[in-house]
Amino acid sequence: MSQLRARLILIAALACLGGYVYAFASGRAGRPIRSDAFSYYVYLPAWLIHHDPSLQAVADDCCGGTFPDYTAIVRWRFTQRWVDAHPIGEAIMIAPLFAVAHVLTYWTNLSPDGFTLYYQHAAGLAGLAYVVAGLWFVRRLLRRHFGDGVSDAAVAALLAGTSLYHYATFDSVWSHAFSFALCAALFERMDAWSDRSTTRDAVFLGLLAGLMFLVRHTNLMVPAALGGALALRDSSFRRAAPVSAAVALACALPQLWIYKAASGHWIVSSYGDLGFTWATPHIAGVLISPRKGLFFWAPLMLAAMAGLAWLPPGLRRWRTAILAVFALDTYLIASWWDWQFGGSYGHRGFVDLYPLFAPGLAAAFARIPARPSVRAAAATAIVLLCALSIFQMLQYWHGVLPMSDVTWDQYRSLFLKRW
Amino acid sequence: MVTRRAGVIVAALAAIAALAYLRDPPWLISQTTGLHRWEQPPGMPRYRWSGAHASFFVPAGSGTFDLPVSTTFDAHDDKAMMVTVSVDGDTAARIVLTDDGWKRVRIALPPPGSRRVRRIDVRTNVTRDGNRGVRIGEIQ
Repeated sequence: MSQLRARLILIAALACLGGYVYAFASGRAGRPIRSDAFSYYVYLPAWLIHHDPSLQAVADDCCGGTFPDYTAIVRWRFTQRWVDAHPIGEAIMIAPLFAVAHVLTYWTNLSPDGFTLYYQHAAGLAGLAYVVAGLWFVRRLLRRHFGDGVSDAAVAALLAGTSLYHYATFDSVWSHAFSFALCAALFERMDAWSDRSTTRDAVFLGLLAGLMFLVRHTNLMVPAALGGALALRDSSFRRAAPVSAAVALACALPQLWIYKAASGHWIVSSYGDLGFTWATPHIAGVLISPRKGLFFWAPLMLAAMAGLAWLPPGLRRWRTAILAVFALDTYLIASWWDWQFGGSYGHRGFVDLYPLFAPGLAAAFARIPARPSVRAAAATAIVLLCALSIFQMLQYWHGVLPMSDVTWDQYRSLFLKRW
Repeated sequence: MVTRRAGVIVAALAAIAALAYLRDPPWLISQTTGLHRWEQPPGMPRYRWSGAHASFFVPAGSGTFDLPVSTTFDAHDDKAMMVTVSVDGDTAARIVLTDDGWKRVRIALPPPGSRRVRRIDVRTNVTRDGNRGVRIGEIQ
């Protein structure tokens, strides 16, 4: 058992790879670069193949000069240039694997347009690899404060008992896999900050924060909240924080330049009239509803929330920041015009924050009384919840569960229904 | 140390073998991009719609063949459409479609080289609704 646990991350990687192969070899998932993933990825062929940051050359090559509606890339009314609703960070993170795919594409003589076989799976496997890297950071963070068994159980439950596995496999080119990894790395590195940390550590934190902004702008709340919490308690971080902030700002500049060049404005939203409904947020919808409720589709997250009350002393300094980020993100997600975030398994908006829930989950596991019968019952319940999550994910993959708008009656009629 | 060195050698050999395999893999002939499903409405030849850019493979020894192409022209969209066909990335033929009749694009493949297949790319300068470029019939 201990040998298996020692290889937990490798096993998680193999499990994700198995799911990935199944999703794409069976044809259930279509192509990795599709829907939203297209607009996150499109910068790579634009920059590295067509050498055209305006995106027009890709539009010409793929789509006769105009991007399809599903891409969230719109022609800006006043400049007639393309503005992409999705920022550049994910493309930057995929770039190393894109380079490998590009070389292999020439080697095999596939069409070097950025969207053929190797490019597709370079992007898909990049998402998978980043989730695994994120799990590695989460495990490292947890092992600093909990026993090995509790840490490993929390990591395994986070992967199997939530929609994280889905975003490491079926929808691995969506931004959530990338945000998850960055959030995990940032949290772990901030937690590891000490008087002995160097300018290099501060630069690394700045890079992570900058990349988080570049992957999804609202991610900025995570480094802001965690950084604020750390700065309040640690004078060495207060001294280093300007370095991190400067690096993060430098990372953000290319994105701002792209917005300026395309639209004439430093910050834009290409969603047009679609936006936030601040006065009527669907809080219950995003937290507990069968449609996309976080706790409905990942009940283990309830344990993670409860566990925030039982954090070990070394992690308590993060509690307020975690709760603030959760509250703010919930309000943002619930106020978005499409609060379900379109088609997704579970609520994908929260996947980015799962690393912040991991300490609470581990604390809840650590709280389970030592009596063997109670432990066995708790372990059985956790395993069953993970199994249910994976089963429902497979229902989603096979079209048994609708992509959105699931009602309670529908859920009951489809419960445990095979495909 | 010896185990590690052996691991590196095995990994390097596996990488070389994989590269050798991927130079001309047998599944390449069935790879396509930018092509919809085959259709055959009554009275029409079998065809697939392309997007603005489609690619597929043909046996390297195919010599010269005809590629039937056509597109739609209606009151809503009657722009002429330029279709460019390339072989392994080099432009081989170009045709401008001005009506909805089928046209044959003659492609002369170079002599077979070291690969079993050659890549054909079909690009159109404009598309119709739904990112449809040309109907591509069966190679003749």
